Amino acid sequence: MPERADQTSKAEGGRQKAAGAWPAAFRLLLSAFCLLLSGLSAAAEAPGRKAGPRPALWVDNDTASIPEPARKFDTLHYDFFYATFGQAPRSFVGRLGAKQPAWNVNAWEEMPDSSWYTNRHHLHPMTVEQVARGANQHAGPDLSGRLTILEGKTAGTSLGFGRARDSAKNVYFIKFDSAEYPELTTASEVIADRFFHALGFNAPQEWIIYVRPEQIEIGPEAKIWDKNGRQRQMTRADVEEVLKGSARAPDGRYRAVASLLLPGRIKGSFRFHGTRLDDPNDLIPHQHRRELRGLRLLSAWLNHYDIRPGNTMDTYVEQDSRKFLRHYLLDFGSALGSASYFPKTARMGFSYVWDTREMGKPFLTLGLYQPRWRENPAPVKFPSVGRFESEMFTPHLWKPVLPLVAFDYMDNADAFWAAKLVMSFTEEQVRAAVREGQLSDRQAEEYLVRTLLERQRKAGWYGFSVSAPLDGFRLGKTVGGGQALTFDDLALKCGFAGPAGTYYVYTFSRLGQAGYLGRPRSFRGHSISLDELMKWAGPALDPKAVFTLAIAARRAEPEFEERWVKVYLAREAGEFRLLGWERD
Amino acid sequence: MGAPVPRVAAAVIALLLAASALVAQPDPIPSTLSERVIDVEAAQHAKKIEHSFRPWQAPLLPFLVFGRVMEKGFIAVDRNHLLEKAQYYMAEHDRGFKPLFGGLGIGTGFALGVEYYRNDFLRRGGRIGIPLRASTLLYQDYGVDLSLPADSSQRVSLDANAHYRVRSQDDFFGLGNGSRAGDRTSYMLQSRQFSFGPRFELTRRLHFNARFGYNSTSVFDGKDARFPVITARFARSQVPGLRNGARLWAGEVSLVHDTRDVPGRPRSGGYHRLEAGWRQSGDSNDFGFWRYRVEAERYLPLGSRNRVLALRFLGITNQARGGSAVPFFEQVILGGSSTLRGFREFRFYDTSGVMMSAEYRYNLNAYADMVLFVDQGQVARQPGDFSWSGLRTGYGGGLRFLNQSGTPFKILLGRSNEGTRIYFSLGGTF
Repeated sequence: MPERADQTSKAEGGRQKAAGAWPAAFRLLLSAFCLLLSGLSAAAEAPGRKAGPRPALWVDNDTASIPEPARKFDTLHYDFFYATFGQAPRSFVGRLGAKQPAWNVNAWEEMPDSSWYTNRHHLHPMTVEQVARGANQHAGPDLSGRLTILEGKTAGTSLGFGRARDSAKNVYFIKFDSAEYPELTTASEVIADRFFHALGFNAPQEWIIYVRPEQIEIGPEAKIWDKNGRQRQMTRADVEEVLKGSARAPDGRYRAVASLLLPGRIKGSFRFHGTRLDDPNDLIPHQHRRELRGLRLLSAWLNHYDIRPGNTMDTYVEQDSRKFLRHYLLDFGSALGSASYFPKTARMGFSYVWDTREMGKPFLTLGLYQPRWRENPAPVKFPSVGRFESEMFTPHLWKPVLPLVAFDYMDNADAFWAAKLVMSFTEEQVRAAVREGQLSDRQAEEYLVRTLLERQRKAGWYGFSVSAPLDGFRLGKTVGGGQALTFDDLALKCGFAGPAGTYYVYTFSRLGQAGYLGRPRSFRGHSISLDELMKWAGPALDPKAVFTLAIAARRAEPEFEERWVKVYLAREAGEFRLLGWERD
Repeated sequence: MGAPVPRVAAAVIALLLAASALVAQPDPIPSTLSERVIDVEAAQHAKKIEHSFRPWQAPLLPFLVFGRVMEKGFIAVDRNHLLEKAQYYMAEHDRGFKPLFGGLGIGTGFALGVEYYRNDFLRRGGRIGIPLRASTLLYQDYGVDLSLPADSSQRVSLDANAHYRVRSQDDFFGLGNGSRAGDRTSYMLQSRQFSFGPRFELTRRLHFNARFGYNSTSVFDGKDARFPVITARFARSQVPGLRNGARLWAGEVSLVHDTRDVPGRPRSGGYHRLEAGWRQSGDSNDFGFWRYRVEAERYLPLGSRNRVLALRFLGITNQARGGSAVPFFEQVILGGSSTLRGFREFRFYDTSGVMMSAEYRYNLNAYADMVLFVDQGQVARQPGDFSWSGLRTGYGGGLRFLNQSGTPFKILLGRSNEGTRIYFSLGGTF
């Protein structure tokens, strides 16, 4: 084993050499180019984080009171042009500069709770019932009486009403299934909503409801933008028009998804790059938020193709007498196999609306190359599931409707974090979330579960293979009573690698100093005796220094490359204290 | 007094600095911010940089301004539902006006117009349209189009139309395959035309049409000041119809067989048309001829619907009757974006013509096809005069932009021995 350890250090040295191989002048020129073109140079963006452990925080206090921001408006058409022709080149140029890890990561490679994200299932395992309940805090709309429409639907492509009030005076957005594809939109919406809530995002409360046409009444103030672009008073004919195109259950009722109006005042959507000027709490450029970078892999798993600024929302909320913006994900009707009221087309999930790279390959090969998804698109096996498959699914090649800067910035550590979240769901929990879609066809439900589980494994494998899948470092005691550092190998835990062919190597060094204390060593098992480490490292240990223990796994499976995680330890009063860890 | 250049530069720099100061507004920083996972001061500094305009960004200023204008514009369009409104006014309803864009051919300038239409006119399925079009180069087209189904299944209908057209500056290079590109001249046509006839839908894919009509055409010197007028280079006696135009009675029958999967953007199937026509002077001019036209298009998928070989053949001959002549504007005209790409519009005139195209189309995405093409064609007095050596060849490639049902827009680059030409055209399968 020492031979392999030597090879490791050589490989490390080789990597460092390669990183410094670009002439300084060229790097300078490149930086200047980035500075000019992106307007957001790496130097200007960097918050100046020093090497070493990150802050040991579980709450990022971005919920301080702020003056009420103005409402922002956005449009799909502008999003398309800006993302495709403006932001994508800028993102490309921006990424030419120094790679930056996500900013909002704490000492344990996790994210503190914030107005964007709350650690839920993967850190605080939820029960099957909690996953199935999602964000819902009550039983759903009270349909004992009338459902009063307050506003016709003004945006989006699906069938429904903008706002409607139930008998309990709660206000909901109502969305129906199309007559051609019953259950498709509503099931996708609710299932994805449950997952995104459990994953930690702010998601709306949603229920599947069944309404009789006679229950629907039109409020006196209800206005509608008709298909001719004119705003007018809503009439019964408009309701009939919506219902005419909607799927109807055999008992005559209409199935819909009711999405509870978000708390607070609507302030428009958030973007996947930069910060919001009128939100002083918003200091982390969105492309450097881990939850938005990692959302790429999470969206890939759930095939949430329509993730874009228009399907997000900032609301100005009051909590504990503080007023601030909370950030939501919305509108999951285009997740899984659905593209709103029809199944996804073959392209969705594989190509942006306008995808220069995807167009470039057939262009350069005179059409001889055509991607597999275009030549042999996956079939729509069940109308209520739409086009949803796992065979062609390749997590890192998955694409949403538009290029999003934060997605482009996803690095290996972000992918690992997202994979951890994805793999935290058991089959039972996946089934529970899918059951919330209330699919009437058992075979369709089973297909959806199976496909989700297959995609889950692909997404998990990807995240665990691009980064060291070693996590959950903690200090404990050895049998002899000494200090030990224990960890989990998630690749083993999830069955991606076998224990027989796996062993680990580590190096030990003082933070900020070159060279190792002692020679790199290898071991089996998931625990390192720190007492032995002290003896082995020798007298060089400074009693107050911070040390770096770098660990990597070596496996028989060639797909898993050797990747390192650095664990920071402080020596205090003769004992080690865990300061955190960081992935290379 | 300083030189103007430094003064302008100083003014620009001052303007940029002023703009920079205006844009770079400091953020209000909440006093209650407590512990954050980031270095708050550094992040606030980065945010200030992000939201401020710096002088070194001056080269980007036009893009920033353009981006802001686009953003505001798109939001205004969406919030006011202007696209839906435009769609409403461009779509057909029971009756009303709709805008017309283009439709006067390549090289006619930017054409705009309006059409009054009425659907279910006189009977169910009937339609009357009154289009009025004019272009920036003063091409004009005003008319009435009427279509009335004869039976309830709408398989037989009677079509009629009457138009007044002005083509202000079409090109003429001389008659024959050997005409020279350097002999480009300009002429103007003014025509009054009406026709009517039945249309039979024999099967879903097979149609039979018959037309009878009258066409009065006058010829004038063209309005294109860049080139000589037609009469300055060609004698009236050499070019039939140049002296007095032509007043022609016309009749024709045609049989159309269309098996294309999606006619506007076909990937398989074919289009075949056989036409026989007759023209006879309605005044003292001696014009009388038969016209025969054969047209065939085939679309062959090459192992995939994403790769298609499109083939086209077009053959037309006008056979003068008893020593009569064929007015030059009624002859076969080749050249341009729809017939012989790589050559100018209206490049070749003669009484007979043949043209072949082979086009390889491959799909780039749902909205665009790439195209590589070769066109060959020639004109001659008689079909017997056609020869392999007389074929004129153009080749090139480009992009076809697609929507669900058609090809609304094409950009093609064509090359021939007479140079390279770019074609922007609306609609059309080739």
